[in-house]
Amino acid sequence: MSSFQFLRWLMTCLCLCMSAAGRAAPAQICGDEFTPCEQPRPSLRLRSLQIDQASAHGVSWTEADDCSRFRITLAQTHHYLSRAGTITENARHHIVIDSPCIATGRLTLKNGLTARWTIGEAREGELRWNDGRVELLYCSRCTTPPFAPQ
Amino acid sequence: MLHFDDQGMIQDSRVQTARRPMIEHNVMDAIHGIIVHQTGGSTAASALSSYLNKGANGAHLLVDKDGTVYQTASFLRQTWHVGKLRSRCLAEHRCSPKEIKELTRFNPKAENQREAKKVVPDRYPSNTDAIGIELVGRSDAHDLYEPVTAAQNRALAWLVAEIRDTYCIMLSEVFRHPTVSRKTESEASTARWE
Repeated sequence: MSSFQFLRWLMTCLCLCMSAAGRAAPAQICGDEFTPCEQPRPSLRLRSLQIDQASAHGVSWTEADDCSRFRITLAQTHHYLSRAGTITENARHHIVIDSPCIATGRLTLKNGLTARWTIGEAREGELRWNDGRVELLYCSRCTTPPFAPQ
Repeated sequence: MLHFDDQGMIQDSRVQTARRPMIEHNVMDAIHGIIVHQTGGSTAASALSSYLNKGANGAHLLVDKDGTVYQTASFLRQTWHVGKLRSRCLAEHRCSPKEIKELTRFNPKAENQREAKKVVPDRYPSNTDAIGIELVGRSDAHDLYEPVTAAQNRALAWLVAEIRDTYCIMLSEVFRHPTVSRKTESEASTARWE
């Protein structure tokens, strides 16, 4: 192999590696006036996932809201948790609305950590871990019902 | 009446300048209302610090628990403090049958888009034409905000009166955040400005 051919082979390898790395670490999904920036998060290695309330009143619920329209399933919960990114408290406060209807439940990871989760129909969510951490979530990629259009 | 410099910053000894350009967006052509918020955090320092972060958002004014007023954004610029608008006609019982039908499905995006086509007072003041006032106040794990202090309410009443006088804003166009957008009801529920 000539030095020119070797250099071309090396460049191709480098490009392929960089492209693979790009796929492995999805880029931040950045928002606008009405959607927050989402930071990608590592996928949850779940041991168990359970729903406590498939449909409940959220903090912005009013008598005009019929929460029978939002009833989450285990598959939809799994879908949400695998796609949602983390958002800042600042974005949660200024950009994201509070859903009138929510669902709640619990999960356990393979490493033993547990969390209580809340998911809202406006795509906002929260993980309260038993070690005290709170992760604020938003899922711009959850485009299908029961989630509301963004 | 408030006096401003050519950058839209208030010239008054009662207001400290703490401008955070990161939270300023488009030019604000007109001011039609005031929205009162609570920060969710327990100190002014934490709010002021968070406004320095890339992609941060905030309001035009910040009132500390002791009543100290900071101006954090120019009155010539919009800040993103409101979020998606709620339907005003629904709250005031004057929606058309077509709108009532559209509102039966939860679609905050479409609701906000319909509202954006209206003008105040047919819609609530929004990011495009509202001054935002943040009161420092913590919320707990159940989204319950702590009470607004007496000093904050005195400063808020003064600010609201001055802004209303300067921009000819009706008292009916001053709102708490959860009135105009879907937010937890306790935010600014103890704020008083009359």
